[in-house]
Amino acid sequence: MIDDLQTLCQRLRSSDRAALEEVFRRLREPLLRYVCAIVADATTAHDLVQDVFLDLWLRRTTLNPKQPLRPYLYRMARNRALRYLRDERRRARKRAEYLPKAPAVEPLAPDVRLESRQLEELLARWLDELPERQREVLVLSRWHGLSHREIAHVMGISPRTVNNHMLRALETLRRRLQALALMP
Amino acid sequence: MNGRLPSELPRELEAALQERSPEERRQIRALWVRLGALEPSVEKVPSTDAAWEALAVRLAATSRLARRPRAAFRHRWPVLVVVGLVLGLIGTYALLRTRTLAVPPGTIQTVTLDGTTITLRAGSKLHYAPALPWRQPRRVRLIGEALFEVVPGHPLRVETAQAHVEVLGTRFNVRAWPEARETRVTLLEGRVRVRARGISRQLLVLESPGQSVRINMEGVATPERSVPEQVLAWRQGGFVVIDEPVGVVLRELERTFALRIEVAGPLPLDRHVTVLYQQPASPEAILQDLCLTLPCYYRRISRGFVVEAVPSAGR
Repeated sequence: MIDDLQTLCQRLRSSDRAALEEVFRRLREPLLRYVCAIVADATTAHDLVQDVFLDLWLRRTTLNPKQPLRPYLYRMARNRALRYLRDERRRARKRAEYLPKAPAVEPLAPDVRLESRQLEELLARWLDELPERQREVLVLSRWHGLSHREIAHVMGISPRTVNNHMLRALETLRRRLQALALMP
Repeated sequence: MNGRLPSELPRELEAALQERSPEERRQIRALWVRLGALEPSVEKVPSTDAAWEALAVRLAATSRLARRPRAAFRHRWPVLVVVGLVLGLIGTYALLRTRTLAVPPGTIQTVTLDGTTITLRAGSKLHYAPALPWRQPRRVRLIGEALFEVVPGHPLRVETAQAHVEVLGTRFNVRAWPEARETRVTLLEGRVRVRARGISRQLLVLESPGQSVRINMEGVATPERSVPEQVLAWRQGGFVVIDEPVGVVLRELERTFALRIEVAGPLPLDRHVTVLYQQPASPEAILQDLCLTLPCYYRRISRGFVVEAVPSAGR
């Protein structure tokens, strides 16, 4: 699949529109999920991903065929998403709007038998509470199947740091589950 | 949705977990599997087909505006310009900088600057800039004493602390030692124009050979006659000082013979004396002569002499 993407990258360089369509059909959906995980809004994520592909087409002549295309696109999407978040925060600060906080989870008694559904909700919430980078590493690795090297490229950190972030995130989640005696 | 994603841990993670207990490893693997099912699906967005249609419309509007690949030199030209400027500045400085010729004590040196022969006395310094068409007349700055032999057609301006001497083809001696605080210009041939640098800015033209003038910060004294052989005695190894303070004579002895003279006791350093040795003479003979007139004693030390006042002559 990787080699395949690299030949597509070559075709893109020679301004092949069909190649762009193929890349779009293959990577739009994962990118959409990824951007949505960052900006937490489906419509915004859709717009940002459209912009990413437009930008890819505009800069097709400067693509490096030796550079893996998938992490490259993830990186473009990540930059856009983070920029969007930054601008959004600034706008929010200007409006001085304070959104009502999500209702706090009532602490669970350890002996409560949890439904699988509830457990998932709890895990999702804890995932959101992880430090930003730890969560991002976990998302890219678990939900997008990116290798450590690819994640390192997307986030601009070293593969070693990727592993450390991931270990720390998993350890936190494991401890929390264990504290509630949810871990068999 | 993520059925195709493997549920085993990434290789690096597995390796890092090797030192954990089997129980922890099992828990983390279970957590990993559970996390896989946790991804929320993205809802309420256009399908991929619809999205492609929308993108294709936008592409049609912009496809002509493909960004040109940035050529390498586009990034580098500001660097090249800066490097060029710096090199140019360094080159200009190296070309235009003022050079200095310093004559060590005990020697006499001769330099030629476009037609002008300059003979510099021991311990003198000459600062000069390279000859440039827009810097006429050529300027040199003298600290010390030198004989200038200027070929006609090469104007020259000699600057000292007290005076400017402008010449067009002539021979003249300039004596401008820092400790004497005066400049003495002696004309040997031709014509020179001397301008005082102090507040007076007096101008004086020396026209007859043998004329000599002293310039200090107060202004220009009336020209006096001097004997060219005496003024130029230093070129042949002679030692002539005409009517100058003892302190200047001692400094001149130090420079000319590259030795050290230390003064011990109260010597009348401001007294004006004249020493005439037109033929080469030893420093010891000159000192002996000087000590007879002052009076004083002198004694040899490793690299020179100590001059002492006679105790009974103490003031």
